[in-house]
Amino acid sequence: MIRSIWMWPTVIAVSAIGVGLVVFGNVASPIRPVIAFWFLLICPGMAFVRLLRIQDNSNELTLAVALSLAIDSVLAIVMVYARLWSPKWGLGILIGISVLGAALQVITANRRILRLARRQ
Amino acid sequence: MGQFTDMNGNIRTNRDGLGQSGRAYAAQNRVSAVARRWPRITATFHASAESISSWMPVGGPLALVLCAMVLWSASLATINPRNITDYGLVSALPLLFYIALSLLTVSFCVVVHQRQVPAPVLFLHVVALIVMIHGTLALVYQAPRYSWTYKHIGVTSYIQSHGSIDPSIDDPYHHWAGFFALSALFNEIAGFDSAFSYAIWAQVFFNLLYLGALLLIFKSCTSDQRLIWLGVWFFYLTNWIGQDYFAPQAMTYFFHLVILGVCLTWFKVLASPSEHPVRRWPVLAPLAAWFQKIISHIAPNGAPDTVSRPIQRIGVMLIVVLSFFIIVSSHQLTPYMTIASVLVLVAFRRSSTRTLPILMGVLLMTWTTYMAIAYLSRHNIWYDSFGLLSSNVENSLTDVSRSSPGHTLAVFTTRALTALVWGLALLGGIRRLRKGYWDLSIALLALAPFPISALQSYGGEILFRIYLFSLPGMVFFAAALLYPSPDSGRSWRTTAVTVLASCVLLAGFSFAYYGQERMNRFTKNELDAAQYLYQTAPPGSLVLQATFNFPSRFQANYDQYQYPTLTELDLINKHNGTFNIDHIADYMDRHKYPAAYLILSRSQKEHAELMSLLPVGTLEKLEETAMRSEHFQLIFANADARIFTLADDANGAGK
Repeated sequence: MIRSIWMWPTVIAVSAIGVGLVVFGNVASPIRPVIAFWFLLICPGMAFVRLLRIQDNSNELTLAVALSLAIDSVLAIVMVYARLWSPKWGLGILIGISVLGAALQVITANRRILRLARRQ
Repeated sequence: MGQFTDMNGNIRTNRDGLGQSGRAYAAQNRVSAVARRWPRITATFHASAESISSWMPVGGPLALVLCAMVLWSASLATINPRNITDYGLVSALPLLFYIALSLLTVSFCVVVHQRQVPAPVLFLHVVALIVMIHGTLALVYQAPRYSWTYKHIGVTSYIQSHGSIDPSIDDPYHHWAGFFALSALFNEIAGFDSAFSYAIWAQVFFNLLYLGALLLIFKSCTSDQRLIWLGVWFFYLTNWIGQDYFAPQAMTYFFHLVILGVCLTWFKVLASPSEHPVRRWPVLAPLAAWFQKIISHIAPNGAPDTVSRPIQRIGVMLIVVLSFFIIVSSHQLTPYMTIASVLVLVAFRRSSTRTLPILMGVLLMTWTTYMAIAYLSRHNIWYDSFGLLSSNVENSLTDVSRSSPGHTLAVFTTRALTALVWGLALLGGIRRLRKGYWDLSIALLALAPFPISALQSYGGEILFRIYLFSLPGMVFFAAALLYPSPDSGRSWRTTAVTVLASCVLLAGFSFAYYGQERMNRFTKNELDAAQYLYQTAPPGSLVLQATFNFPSRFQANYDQYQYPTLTELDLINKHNGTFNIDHIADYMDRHKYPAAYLILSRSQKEHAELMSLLPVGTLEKLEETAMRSEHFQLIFANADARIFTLADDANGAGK
């Protein structure tokens, strides 16, 4: 229970820090595309899909990927059409969204645990 | 004579006089004696035996997948793309490749037949299949397939370079730019200058994405693991359309599948509707009564009903709306397919998302009238083929009267494979119906794309796209032919038929999907030529190609060049291959471009020959004539491409 509560928020937070470091630090390393790919594909979506408490793992992952790509795309489309193209700002927003979702996961999970403890 | 009781309760006798229970007792005594003497050895033996018996259902298939992957990896080194003939990549694939694929196929068919095999094992088989059939091209080729890939790379680079799109450019990609904006954002964050670095892997990536979405749809229709996974397996063996490359269609197809999966999983209508709503329309009373009769007969399909909480439904609905927005902003056709599918699900009370089609329509109209109106006012792409069903279908069929035998085979294989999939689906649907399963939802998804063929021709591709969008429903029913219900398909014969069906579909796929690789693949030499051109040609130049099949337009300034083709301009007689080199030079000189170039390449020759655009040898003759002509000067040449310019330009005469 504890592991499942902390696992995704930790993964999302670590991924956000990792992608932030390599992009804002202008690190030209072969690991940069891998971290960027992982972060953009999974993290923004998983940060919020976990809040829906979907039982089936493959369905949860599919929705997380769909939501991640959708959030990334909406952000990119707004930047392109509004002529506000700034990939670093975009990444900053995505990191913020992911961290917010991860924090919400921890808060809601803790509330649930407290509620269960009170009932017992 | 010993006696024992069999499973049916009958008393039976053994010839050796020792009953089965007696034998077991004796054997147990012997084991106990050994165990008393060597307790540690016996304990280890028991642990190992238990471990092996629990490992066998998983370990055996895993070993086979590993073996297939090793054989496939070994086969890659022996594939030489230069050996590809008229029959496509099949002609260049070694025996080892087919052995690996056969091993994987047999392993999957045996595994899917067993009920106790965990889903990750089946997942691994499907991933291995995707890697084998799509990863092979990425590993063997020097450059991404399809000439359109390069233009998509160019549009992405344009956004990276300019930070926006330009609606004044007469290019649909500047009006449906969602996919390119996402690619550009990824490139910037990943540190790529362009999408060149990864576009070759797009097929593997998108097909892996589809896997989760397909599972989402199929799980909403049945709880039979065999049917779910065989449907997924058949999807990959029959998706020969080739719309999984680095293109907006590939991404929007994923979102389309997710939307349908969500509508069927979280918004599934659990109870049959009452007669009350249909009685509101007295004019349509007979139709409504018939409709009600169908709906009321629909029995549960055996899939577990997803108990969803309001917060879940709100959350997944937000994902659906965002996904549809990306579809609308990225692709012209997919929104219509998605709306048609959701609409029939709602109309037939299979999904409770009644306001979703309206919302989708509003989003689509908003984008069309505000963001894409500049393009649509110049191109009447939606209305010129409206209502012309037979013409739209005919435009999708390739004329093979002048094609080479290899290309003719590839074309007929695509038709045969399409007919086979649809035929199997029909039989599977009937068999499932006879078992008492009314899979109306998935049947509607299979049929919903067909009416779109009456609305537009989509550049002569509408039949292909209909096949693509109906495929998830079709493969579900094709798989249902073998596993129509959880109780059926238990014998080894079903496994044998599954292996046979998979092999037939795989053979068809090999010719249909890989059949035009002669022209679809590009070499490094051709890329070198294109790169030389962009380094040399001043903006505004004319880049005249024999056909469009050349890896150009991948630069950020791709829009600053003109790319007409000799075949479009009728500068070569398509019937007898005659041309006048002076006329070609006149055309290049007439419009006073800063510079004008003529590019002839291997892939253009393959394209002209394979698609019977020009008689065989025409472009070779043109090349020789241009070499001898005083109007042209050769400025770049390698084994696969030649670039000519007008002699006056090369001598610095200027214009």
